[in-house]
Amino acid sequence: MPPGSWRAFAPARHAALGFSEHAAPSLVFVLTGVVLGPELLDVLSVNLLAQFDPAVSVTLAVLGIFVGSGLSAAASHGRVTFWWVTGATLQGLITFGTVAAAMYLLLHQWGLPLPVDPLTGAAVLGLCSTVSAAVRETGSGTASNAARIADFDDLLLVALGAFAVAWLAGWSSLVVVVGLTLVAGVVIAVAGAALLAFSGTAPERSVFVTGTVFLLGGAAAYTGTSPLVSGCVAGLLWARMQRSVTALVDSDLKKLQHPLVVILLIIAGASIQFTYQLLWLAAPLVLFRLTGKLIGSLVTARLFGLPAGLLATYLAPPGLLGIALALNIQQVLSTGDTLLVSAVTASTVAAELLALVLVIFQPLALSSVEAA
Amino acid sequence: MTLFARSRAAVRGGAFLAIVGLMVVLQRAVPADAISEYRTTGLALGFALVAATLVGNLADTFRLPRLSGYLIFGLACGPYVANLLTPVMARQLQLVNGLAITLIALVAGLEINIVRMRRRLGPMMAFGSVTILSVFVGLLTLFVIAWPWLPIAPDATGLQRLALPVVLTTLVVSFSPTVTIAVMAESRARGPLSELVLTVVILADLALILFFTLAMQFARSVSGVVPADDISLLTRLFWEVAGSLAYGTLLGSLFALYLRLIGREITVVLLALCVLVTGTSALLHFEALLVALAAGLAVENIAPFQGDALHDAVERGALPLLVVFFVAAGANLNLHALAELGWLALALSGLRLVGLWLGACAGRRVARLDTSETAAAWTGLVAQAGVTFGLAGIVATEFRDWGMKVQTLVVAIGALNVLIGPMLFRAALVQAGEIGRLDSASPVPTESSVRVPNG
Repeated sequence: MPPGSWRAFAPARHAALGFSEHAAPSLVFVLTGVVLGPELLDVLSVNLLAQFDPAVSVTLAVLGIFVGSGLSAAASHGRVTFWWVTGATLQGLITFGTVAAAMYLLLHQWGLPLPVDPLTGAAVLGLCSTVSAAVRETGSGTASNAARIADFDDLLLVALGAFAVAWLAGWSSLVVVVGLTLVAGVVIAVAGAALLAFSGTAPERSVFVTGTVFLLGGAAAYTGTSPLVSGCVAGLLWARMQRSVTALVDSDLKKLQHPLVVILLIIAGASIQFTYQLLWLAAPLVLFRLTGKLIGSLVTARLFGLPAGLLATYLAPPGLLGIALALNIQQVLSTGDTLLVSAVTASTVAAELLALVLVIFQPLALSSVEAA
Repeated sequence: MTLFARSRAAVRGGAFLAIVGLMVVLQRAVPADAISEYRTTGLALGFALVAATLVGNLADTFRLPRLSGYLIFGLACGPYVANLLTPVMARQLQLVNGLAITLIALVAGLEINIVRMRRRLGPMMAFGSVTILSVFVGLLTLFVIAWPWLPIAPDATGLQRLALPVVLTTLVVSFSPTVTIAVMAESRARGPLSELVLTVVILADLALILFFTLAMQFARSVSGVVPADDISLLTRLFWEVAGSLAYGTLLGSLFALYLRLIGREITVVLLALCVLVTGTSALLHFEALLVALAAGLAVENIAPFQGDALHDAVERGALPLLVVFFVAAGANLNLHALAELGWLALALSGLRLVGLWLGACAGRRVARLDTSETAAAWTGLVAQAGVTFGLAGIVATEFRDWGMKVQTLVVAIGALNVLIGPMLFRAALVQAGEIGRLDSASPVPTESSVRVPNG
């Protein structure tokens, strides 16, 4: 292993546990939520948690904006981006298929009391498992390509998540309602950008950004679809507008992002119900997700000429979008049974810990192989 | 009008119409009553923030307070008029009320420097006391005389004939420190008039707690609901006032310590402090407004924070809360009550205004605050809002027969006063030249502008 090769793994290692400079330390906040939640101190009671529903929608919209703007920024690379997206979607679909199929078999066999039927439950768990943590890796080397594939697997979750949420909300004409959310996203994004371009003071600008994000999250929540979609549309549009508008949105959104993500993680932690079913659901979920990601890495790495081990270290840390989508689905299900969101949250934390172990030992293994 | 200003007006108008149009389309596609409560909250908050800010800007161009724009927007889009903000949404918007009141009181506390104000505190308190007592006595006399003609409980006899007017007077006299402080915060006002009004509304809030507790106890005793218990009453009052101040000082000191030692993510920590104050005050039976005020006072007077970070954080956190607070106030204004008792409410509101003006004249004379800037101090006492409506709700819950009628009348009067109060007070601030002085580098006018009595 040449000197400096360790650097290639640094971003993946930082992404694990969310302890990167751009993400919240998820483990800490999830545990805070567990302590404050109804299972322990009950400071965040069930009724109080329900009042935080708008915060979940708004956080999803903000995360969607970042997905959209990231995609828009990458689109400047043209054909290369297409391949990244294809690779990310392929490994995401493999993970989705692996987790959903395996979980369906288990759920069907065990007959666990889920708030939805076993097929839907397995599909939801599979979808929430597809996403990997975002990695800030610039440049054009092998590590950078692997990082891009990890970054773009959000798109699959956003697209499928939109239909999943609308379907679970009870909509019969899914295309119409997702279309309505897309149109709402476009209208709000254009109006918001126009207001920002002519905003006066910094507090006024801050109100417009906050209001626009609430509208994006609120409109999707109102129609019973995923705010990730309306946010993603807005992110795509804003990234292509005047540079001044993009910069303003970006700077104000970053101030909103941190507290919102913290709230989301605390809510996720507080929503965990500790039952035997949770253990039976979360443990296999971690295992199946890791299996799915490893298979996905093998296939994708072969197609794109990347080292499979390297790609796997980037794909292993699960990130926050899975938890966000699980909370979104919990909202539309409107049930007190939080087994699904509990399983996704617990498995995300466990998978992050596992990913940390992987990214620490994987370079050591590589170097020992090279030395031998 | 410059080309930029014209373009800006056109863009803002277009954006406003687009967002209102979107709300109409969404509500046609998905009826609001078909979905769960909390799914409407985000949309209501976003709509209120963006559209009401634009209406507030429009109000500003007509030299009206932005707050009036937010209120009028809430009223026009609320359940009683356009119903773009449905009853459920209007109720959901009130979720931020506690937070807004706390932040506004915290801002007020941060503006009060006791050392700077020490010499003027006596005259200010004298002015406030005389004004409040004058209005109270004047209106109470009027209500006692006119009681048989008021549509509340004309057949009341004996001590009830006095107790009921006392409760009504307390509610009609009550002020809204929140609205008044919000007008000052929004206008970035500073000067003798602002300082006088700030002191008086805080004093009035303390007096209101005292008056209301005593009036309710009196009404209970004559109605035979609960026997009067002087010891528990005094204990409760002491706990509510002194406890609030002590608790607020403790929280403020901890916040000041955080600012000194860490000083990061101030907006988030400030909002968390407001959530803590709002949540725990209700649990501990403290007055959230007093707790937040004491916290602000502690930060400003015990460990003042140097630099702009706190100022920026307050400004960043306050504006969205102010917008939503006033939209919620407008959307929840009970226009049915106003329609039912319109003329009576108008008459009583007019009498209250006259009473305030006369009371303030007497107060200025007694306190010898006879400068031109303080002549319009009574305008800062006109607005009524959440506290008044909340107390009226308590009366209605406890005395269902006549309490409901008192509530309807008080809500009708309050609806008028919350609309005209901010306009009158802002006009007075403009007249006194205090608008925007908080941002300017000019030193705060002190002894020279408020004459302090010798000895």
